[in-house]
Amino acid sequence: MSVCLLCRRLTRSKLDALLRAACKLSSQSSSARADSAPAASTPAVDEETVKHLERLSLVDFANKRGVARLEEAIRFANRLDEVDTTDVEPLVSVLEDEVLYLREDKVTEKNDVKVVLSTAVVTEEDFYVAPPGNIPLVVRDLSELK
Amino acid sequence: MLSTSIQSVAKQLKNSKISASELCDASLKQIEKTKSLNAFITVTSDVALKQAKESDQRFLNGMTRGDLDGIPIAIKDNFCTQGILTSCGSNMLSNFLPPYDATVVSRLRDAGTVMVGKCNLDEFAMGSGTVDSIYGPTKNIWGSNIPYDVTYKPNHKMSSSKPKVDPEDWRIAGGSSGGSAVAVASGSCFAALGSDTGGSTRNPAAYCGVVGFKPSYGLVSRHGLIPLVNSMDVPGIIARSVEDVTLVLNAIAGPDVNDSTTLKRKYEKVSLDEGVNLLGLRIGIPKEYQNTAIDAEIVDILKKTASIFKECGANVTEVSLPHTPYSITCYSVLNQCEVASNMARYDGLRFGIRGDVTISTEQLYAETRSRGFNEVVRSRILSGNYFLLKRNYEKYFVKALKVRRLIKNDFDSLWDSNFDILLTPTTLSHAPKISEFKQYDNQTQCVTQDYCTQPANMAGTYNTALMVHDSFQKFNNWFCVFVLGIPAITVPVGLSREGLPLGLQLMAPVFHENALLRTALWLQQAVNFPQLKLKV
Repeated sequence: MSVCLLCRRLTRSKLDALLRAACKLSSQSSSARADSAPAASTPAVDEETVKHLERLSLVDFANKRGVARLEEAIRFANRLDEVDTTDVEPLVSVLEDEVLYLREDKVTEKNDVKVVLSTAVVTEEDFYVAPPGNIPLVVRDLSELK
Repeated sequence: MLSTSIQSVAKQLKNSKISASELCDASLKQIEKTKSLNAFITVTSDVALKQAKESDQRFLNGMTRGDLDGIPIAIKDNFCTQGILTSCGSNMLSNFLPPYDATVVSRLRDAGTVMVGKCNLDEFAMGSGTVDSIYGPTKNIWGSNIPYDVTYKPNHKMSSSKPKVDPEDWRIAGGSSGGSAVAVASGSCFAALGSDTGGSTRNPAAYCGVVGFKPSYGLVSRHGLIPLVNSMDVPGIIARSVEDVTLVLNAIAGPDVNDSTTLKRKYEKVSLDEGVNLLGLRIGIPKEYQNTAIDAEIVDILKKTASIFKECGANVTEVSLPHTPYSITCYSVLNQCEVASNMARYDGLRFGIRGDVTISTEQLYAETRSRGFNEVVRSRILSGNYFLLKRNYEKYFVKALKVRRLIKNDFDSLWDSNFDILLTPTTLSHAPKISEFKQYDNQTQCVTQDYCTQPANMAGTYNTALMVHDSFQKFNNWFCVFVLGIPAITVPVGLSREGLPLGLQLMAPVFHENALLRTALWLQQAVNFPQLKLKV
């Protein structure tokens, strides 16, 4: 067991070194944070997370490859750990130096219900129609994932 | 006639040598002849003929609206057009008839243009090949089985080989605005609107041998452009020359009360008349592009172009943008997070298709969304929501915003040391074949599969995995304009040995459109890229 773990650790650190070399990181950007997890060590996404994400997203993973894609995306995103962002302000908008303007609170377009509802598949009188709410999504059995 | 410039055809319209209706007819015929390329999702013949007739009337009455009056144009199918299908290439919006026009669409109409159709794209503009549309892939005209000639201006001694044609294994158009690029390249229209989030206008323009321009974020209204990544999306312009791109830009740019992210300042039209003074112009070439799996032909043409600039007095130096290796990762995280948030609007109730479930609202949402979205869209939503989980928000989303700041600082320090323009490749190679493109996409899956079984190979494969994790990462330009909102333009500069277009990209500081377009015009005249003319 311990031998096995050691082996894995060795392989990982070796891989990490190789990976850095392969990426030809410039000297500045290689000042990686000491606590950054090696990109290769991303844990598999557990079943609870899969269910949670499906519930939040209201789309399903469809199959195991879907989950693998997510793991790949996480692994890729973990590269950001290599960048030192101490004391860096997040850049939310490239227009951060501009002032957002407000328009006057005046009606500029006429309130045409027909036009607004024209894009809905099902309507009744002047309403959109939805099935009953407050019923939780039926949770699939994840072992069905192929 | 269809392969000339807007200005020269505008002259003919003015002198009554040709009518807008005739021009429109020719354009619609060209669309028919090139139908196999699948550049259009909807051909709007009725609208076009009506608009052309109105234009004829204006010419008759001397009430014309400028150089764009009567000019056939096309619109990418993610811009809302009143009463006309706006599908985003997705099943989700396959029934969507918007009740209003996007601002850029109405401005083009006010300029007198004739809209001939809506162009194909990757579903919700997520892709770089225009192969992921429910209406099928768009094929590149270069290397297609549609007969065409490549003609250089007189006194030009260059000759080129024609690409081998394989009807089964065609060249991809690039994407996601592939339909728009092919429509322009094949002479079906004079200009087309694309959209650009991470290179979606410039990438297909480069593969199709046309000019693709991404304006500064805030210069052109996004009202009515169906959002992908709000903090980066901008309308893009594709045309066959820098002059034509400029004409369209001048018609659509400027403040819009319906888009609070447009700049409030009055738009000063870009003028190309003065040209550019190359003496003392400082051009930087980021050295980081060498780190990529870039094609030798692109490197060659970049070097050649740099020396043309140098010979004519420009000061060309190698510069460094140290955070470039992270720009694609930063982009990928921000893209997926904003996509997850943006796609939440598709619930089947208010617009788009609707599932059949009646048990519960949530079940209806889920059913609608799994029927409406393809695998690429779904997986971006899922990973976006993963990065946005409370426990991951700082680690991924906020982190990516911080890295975006560092990338911006890289650029700012270049502009601060008085660089005027950056010159880079637009893509890593000429247009790949569909088999090559798909193979990369598959390779992503293979890499995922092999990840645990082939540790010995890991360094190599991992590096590939970084590049191809999603197809847009391999085939998009990986330079960082998209995260910064600075203007960029791709200009076709030559043909590869196989006879396919190669493009180079110029970038300038935000809102320096004048300098950028003038330099691009100079480059266009210096390289004398050949004209493609259909033989049918």
